[in-house]
Amino acid sequence: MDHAQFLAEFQKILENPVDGLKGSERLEDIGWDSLALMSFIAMVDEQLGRELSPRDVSRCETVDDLYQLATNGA
Amino acid sequence: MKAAIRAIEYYLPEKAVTTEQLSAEFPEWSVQKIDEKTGIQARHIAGEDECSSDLAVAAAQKLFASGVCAAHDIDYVLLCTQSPDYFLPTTACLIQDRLGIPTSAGALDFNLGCSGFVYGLGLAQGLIESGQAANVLLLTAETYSKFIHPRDRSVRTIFGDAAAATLVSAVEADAPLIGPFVFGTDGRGANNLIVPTGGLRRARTAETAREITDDSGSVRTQDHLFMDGAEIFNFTLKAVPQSVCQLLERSRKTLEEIDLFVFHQANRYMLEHLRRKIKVPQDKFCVAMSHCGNTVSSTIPIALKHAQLEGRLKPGDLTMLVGFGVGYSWAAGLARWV
Repeated sequence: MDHAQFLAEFQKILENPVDGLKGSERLEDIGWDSLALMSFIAMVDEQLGRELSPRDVSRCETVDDLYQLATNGA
Repeated sequence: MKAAIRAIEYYLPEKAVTTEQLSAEFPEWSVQKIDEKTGIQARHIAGEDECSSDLAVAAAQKLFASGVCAAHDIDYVLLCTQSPDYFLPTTACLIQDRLGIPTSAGALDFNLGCSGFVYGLGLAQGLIESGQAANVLLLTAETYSKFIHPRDRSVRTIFGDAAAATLVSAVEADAPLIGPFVFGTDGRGANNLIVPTGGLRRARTAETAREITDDSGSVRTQDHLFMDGAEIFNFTLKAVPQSVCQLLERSRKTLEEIDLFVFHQANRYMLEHLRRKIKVPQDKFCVAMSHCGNTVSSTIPIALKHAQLEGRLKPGDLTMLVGFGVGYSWAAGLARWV
C-alpha cells in the first residue's frame, strides 16, 4: 500500500474527511478518537493482514506516524 | 442419550435507553455515528431494585409458560453471571426456590462474561451425557448497567441488561447434537475489562470513588466498569478466527457445512469485521442486537432465538457458536438444532 492509497483508506475512517489530506496533519486536529483507533486497527488488519498493538497506535501523533507503523511496523 | 438445546426464551427489563437519548446526553456523538459503529438502537436497563436473579427468573418463567417443560422437570440449574445478587449465597439457589424447582436439583453459579453461554453448553452437555442430569436449565443473566458510570459513553452505548433461559435436555440420538468445543483463556487481558473494586482484593473507598475523565472524555471511577475497547478488539481479531479454524479442524467440518454462525454480539462493527475476515457469507451470519445491545452472556441465546423466529434456523441445522471477552476467556462450539 503506497502513501496515496493509505491516505485514501484513512479518509474512510474519519467521521469528517479532511480536504487535501497530506499526512503531516496532527491526529488531534482531525477528529481522531477511540472509535477511529478501532477502525484503523481493523483497516490495517483487513488491507495489510497486520495486527497492530493499540498501545503503539496510541503513540502516533500524525497521520504519517500511522502510515509508518502500518507499513513498516516502525 | 445426547444433550440438545430444546428451547430458548429471554427477558429484557422494561426501561430502555435509545440511541436518540444517548446522543442528547453526549452531544459530541451523533446518533448516526453511534448507530453505525455499534448497530444498537436500544439498551434495556434493570430497575434500581431489579437484580440478575429477577431477570433470570422472568426468562425461566417465559420458558415454562411456553409449555416446553415445567419447573418440576428441571434437575440442574446453571447460572452464568458476573453481577450476582450477593457474594453469598449462590444466586442459582435463590432462583431454584423462586421458580419452584425441586429441592433434589443441583444448582450453581459460574462467573464468566461474553464467553459464558458456550461454556454453559459444555457444562450442561457434560452433566447430561455423564448421566448426572436430564434437564438442565442454563441461565445467563447480567446487570452490567449497575457497574457503569452514567457519563462513560464508551460502555453506556454498548451494554444492555438481559437474561436468557435455555433448556438443555437429554434426547434419544445416535450422534452428538452439541460439541465439539474449543476453549481458550488468557488472564493477561484481565485489566482490559474489569470492575477494579468491590470484591475482596480492593475495597471501595473515598479514593476509589473519585471521578476521572479519560482522553476521550468518558468519566468513571475505580468502582465502575472499565473497558479498553481497542485492546479488546485486538484480542478478538486474534482469538476468534483462530477458534473458528480450530473448531472446524476438530470437528472435521468445512465452513460451508455450517448453516448458521452465531458469534457473541459485541457490536455490529466488530462482528462485520470478523465476518469478512473469516469469510462467512452474510446469509449465514447472525446479527441480532439492535433492540438490546451487548447483553454479555445472553447475546448468543438471544441471537439464536431471533434466528429461530425469523425462520433462519430449522431442525437439523448446524450452528457454530463463538463467545469471547472478559477474562480473557473464549470458547467455540457446534450445536445442532433439534
